[in-house]
Amino acid sequence: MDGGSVFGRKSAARKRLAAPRSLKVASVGPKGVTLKWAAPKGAKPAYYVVVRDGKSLGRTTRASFTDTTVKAGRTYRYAVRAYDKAKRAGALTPSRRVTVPKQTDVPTPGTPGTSNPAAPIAAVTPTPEIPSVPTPVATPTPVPSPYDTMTEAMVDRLFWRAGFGPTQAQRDAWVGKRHADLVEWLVSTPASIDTSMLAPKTAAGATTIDPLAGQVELELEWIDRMQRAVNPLPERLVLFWHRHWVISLNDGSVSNKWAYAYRNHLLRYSDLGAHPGATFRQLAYEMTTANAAMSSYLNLNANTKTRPNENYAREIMELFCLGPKDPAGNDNYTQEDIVGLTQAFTGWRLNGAEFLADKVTPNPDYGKITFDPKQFHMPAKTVLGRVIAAETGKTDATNPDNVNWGPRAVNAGVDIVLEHPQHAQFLIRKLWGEFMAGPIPQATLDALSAEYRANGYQLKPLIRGILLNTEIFESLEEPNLIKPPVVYMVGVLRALGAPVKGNVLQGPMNSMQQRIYNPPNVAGWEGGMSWLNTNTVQARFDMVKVAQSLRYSNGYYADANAAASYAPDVRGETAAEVLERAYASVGRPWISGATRAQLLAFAQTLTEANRTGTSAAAITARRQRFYALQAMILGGPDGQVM
Amino acid sequence: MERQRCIECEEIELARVRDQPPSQTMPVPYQALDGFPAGRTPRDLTRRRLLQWGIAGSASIYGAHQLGWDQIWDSVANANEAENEKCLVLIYLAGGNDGLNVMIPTEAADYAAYVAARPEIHRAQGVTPANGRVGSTPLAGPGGGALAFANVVVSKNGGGDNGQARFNFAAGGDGYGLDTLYGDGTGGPGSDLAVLPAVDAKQYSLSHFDNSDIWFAASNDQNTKTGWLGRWIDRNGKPDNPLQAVSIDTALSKAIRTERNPVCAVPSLSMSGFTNNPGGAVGGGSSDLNGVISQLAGIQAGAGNAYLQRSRYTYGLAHTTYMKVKSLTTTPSPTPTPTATPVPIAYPNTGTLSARLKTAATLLAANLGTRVITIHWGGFDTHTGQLASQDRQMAEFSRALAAFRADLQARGIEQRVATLVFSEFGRRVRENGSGTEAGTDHGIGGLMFAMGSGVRGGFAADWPGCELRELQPVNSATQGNLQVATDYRSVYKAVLDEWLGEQNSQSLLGGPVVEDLRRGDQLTGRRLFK
Repeated sequence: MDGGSVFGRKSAARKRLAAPRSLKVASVGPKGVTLKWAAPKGAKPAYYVVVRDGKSLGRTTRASFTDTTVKAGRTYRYAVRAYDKAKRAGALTPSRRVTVPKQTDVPTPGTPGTSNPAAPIAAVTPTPEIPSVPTPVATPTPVPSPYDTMTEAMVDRLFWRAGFGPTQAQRDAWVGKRHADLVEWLVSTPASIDTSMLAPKTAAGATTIDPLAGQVELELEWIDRMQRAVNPLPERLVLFWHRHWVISLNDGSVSNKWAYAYRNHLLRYSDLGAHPGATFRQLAYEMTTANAAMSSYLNLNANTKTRPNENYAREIMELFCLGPKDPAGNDNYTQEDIVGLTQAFTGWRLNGAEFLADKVTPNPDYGKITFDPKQFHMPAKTVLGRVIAAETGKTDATNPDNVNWGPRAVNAGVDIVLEHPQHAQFLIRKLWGEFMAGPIPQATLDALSAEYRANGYQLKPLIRGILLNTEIFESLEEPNLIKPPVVYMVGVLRALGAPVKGNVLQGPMNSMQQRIYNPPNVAGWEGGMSWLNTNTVQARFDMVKVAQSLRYSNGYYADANAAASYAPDVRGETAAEVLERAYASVGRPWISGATRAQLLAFAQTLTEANRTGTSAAAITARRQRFYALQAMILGGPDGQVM
Repeated sequence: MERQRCIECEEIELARVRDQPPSQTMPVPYQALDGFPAGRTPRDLTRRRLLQWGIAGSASIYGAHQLGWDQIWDSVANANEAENEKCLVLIYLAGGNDGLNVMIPTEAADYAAYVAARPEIHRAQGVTPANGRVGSTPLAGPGGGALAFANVVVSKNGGGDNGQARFNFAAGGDGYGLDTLYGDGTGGPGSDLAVLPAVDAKQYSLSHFDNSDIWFAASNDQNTKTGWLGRWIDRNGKPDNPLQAVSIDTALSKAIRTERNPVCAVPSLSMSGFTNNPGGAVGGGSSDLNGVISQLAGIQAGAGNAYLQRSRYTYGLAHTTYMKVKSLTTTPSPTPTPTATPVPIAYPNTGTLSARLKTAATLLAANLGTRVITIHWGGFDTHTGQLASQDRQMAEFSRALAAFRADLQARGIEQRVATLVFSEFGRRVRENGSGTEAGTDHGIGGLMFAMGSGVRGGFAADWPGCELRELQPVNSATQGNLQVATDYRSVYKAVLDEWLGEQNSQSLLGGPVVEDLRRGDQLTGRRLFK
């Protein structure tokens, strides 16, 4: 369901209570785990219920709870839900995982000899509310933080949230290393292509992809960048900017050439390794004055002093920088502000002539944006209560300063918009949601906003700050964020090691409802739960077959012996063995234990005759079992979360 | 699968609306196809409920205004409760179907001229001879003196060839063919197929582009954007029910393009379920994974993991919806009569045409206010290798059409559905090429069919003859085309007046005064419908 559908862009507000905020573990020890949280904003719940591993522990009217029924050495997951006076349940908080440490000086009663002389308690914040819990040992041996020696699950989590899934090489390189170091690698390594992976081919078999040869090759070039990226974070950021500063090929106002230039433009604000000083402010300025696709798509090119066009000015406030309303529901800007900003953005002309007058020679200035002082609204402009000074003087060439009017006005306008108190939280919330499953804690938002505003709207510290936040590891044992269709698709291609050829991915992208370069409207893709409906999950499942065809048929190497490309046949393989082999062949992604059990049961349904037979039919049946397992691991419900 | 060449893709593309994107998309809930929930209120079809029930398909709406969800389903519910109205299914054979090799001349001199012009690809008279050349069966009744069916469209039970092994159609369907629909050709009960040879625009063009615009827009003015049925919808349709005219395609057909009232395109309703079938190309086969997926979907996710829960839930719902839609698109068993054992309905295969006809039958049976359905089917631009491709396609067509009719009967709606089949022009009388590469070039005077128990079957339009002296330019062996005996607008007029109940079809069709259709069997009274 696209953003501009029958239902409108925003779903109706829910009447139920929001989730309690800032759930945290105040203390943990073998005697108990203490949780604290804050009420949902603006609400006074009647009581809260604390849930542990899916089961209710009890209720409390205070904003804290101590669970004394914990056992040392065990790991628990807690969440809290608020209830109103009518006993209606509100939303659940994101869960918090806690491991109860084993204590050194109090041996477990009844089991002498098993007391563990291991290190004492981990994170503890002494709390006056539970004085009965003994305070920890005075001089604890420093425990390596889990964030200093990442587990495989943590490495996978980062490479999914900030990329398209891990390769085994990436796991080998980063397991046991520091979270902070991997984040630094992600934000500082310039984008590059892994040339050891197979390059894509056109339908005709050519390996040189010309993105300007047509829409298929244009898309192939981008998919390839994502698939073969050494550092995936720049590619994920380009996808983010594409759904934020939106253009689309779907209404015919943007040519392929401009779309490609637009994508490359966004790369300069995504490849933070190569452009560490990138700022959102400069991005906003350039989207306004130096991007042909944006100019055409949002009618900046038609915005003149005599015929102002408000489209871009409205969208830059509503969609790109502020949002229509603040979290409390007040309007962030008025129609007058749109009018004023429109005036500030006048005069930027786009050269839309693809050919010169002879209709044959390509126009070298096609897509070039120039400022025309004659089309500029010279009087003073008021935006968000601030005044952009008027310009005076001649509009013709006798006044050399007039070429600066446009840049001055746009700079002033952009600065005014970004200085709006709602800008930072608007952008940061959206960026946070790209990488994190739960809402951003207020303290984190405040800290990131302050830093972002203080350093001139820089992107690298902001992205780094988000990725360094340990919330990213929340619900590690059961991934809890939907993979957007393109991320899922590239993930499947990488997992299988499938080379890409021709135009086989366009259909899947359409069916999964995310076709790059083609968002449905200027709001981009709605995202979140809207990615999943009965049609799109079918499409996600079916996409694995496309990747299997690319990987295991001889379509890529047209002259090879066809059977040499097939997945190997292993005669006599048991169900457990084939499941393990299929699982390994797709990079050992996360699947739940219950899923694994079902897949094993499926693998066992192969008849004994087919399991051990030598006939062609038996070989095909065995091989198909392998493919089916791959399809369910990658394309089943578990494969949709990261 | 029919031989597709690039030009066919172009054909289908030209018949679609390309310069206007859909104004919005709308999921079609499964519940709408299965009747409305008890209480008949579309309030139940809110977005939240929709997610619970599952989506059977997705409609791209083309309308002048954005429509609200409640508004649409209110209108659909009203249509559902109102009296059942007559519907038209329009099937467009894209590329210029060669009518002369489907309806063969029977009169001696005519037939001799036909054979002389088509040494390679002509049909034999009578049963298919040993050399494999397709035979022909004269039309029953008055039309037999002029035309015969090529045996590739005649049912196996009727002595025809459309059940041949080389077509590899699904089992069953021996009783299906154009002959069974044609009946005795008298236009009475059981005579439910009308044959109209040599229909075209009296002012014609041999270019695909211009002609398909003429047929779809029914206007000689190239600036007309609306379709002839679109204008009918604008005049008689509802302002808020996009399902009143549906193109079973990824984009809207120009025939139903409107200026105001909403119409839509629905590519398909059937879902494939969860099947992994990479096939022989990778040394594999096919696995029906519906059972396993529904198990995986039932696994409980951890508390608070809303996304994984939603993922599993949606897979489960997709599975359930698939099973339900499958049961809806599978034709109900025909009611047994006291005298006859019900014969299972067998569409020829699950290729494009059959799938679309099944979708059409499901939509019409759901009674959502649909008045017009359009289906485009490509592959008829047979410049070379005509026999190999056209024989197969027309065999499939004849069986699919008869199966569609039986499908509608089993669903109890056949009496209010009429099907009109056309192609944008015919082909040259003289063949080109030689041997297996023989084919025909663009010509004039296409073949049309109308089918349904409401149709006055038989020989429904003049046959101009294909002797040299009867061609245009006259006596030209190489360039000669059939005379245009019937203007296509006469056929449209008959459909609008006699079936769709239009009072003033002349104003819808515009242009010079439209002549009434003149039947080939000279019967008077109603022209095309009983």
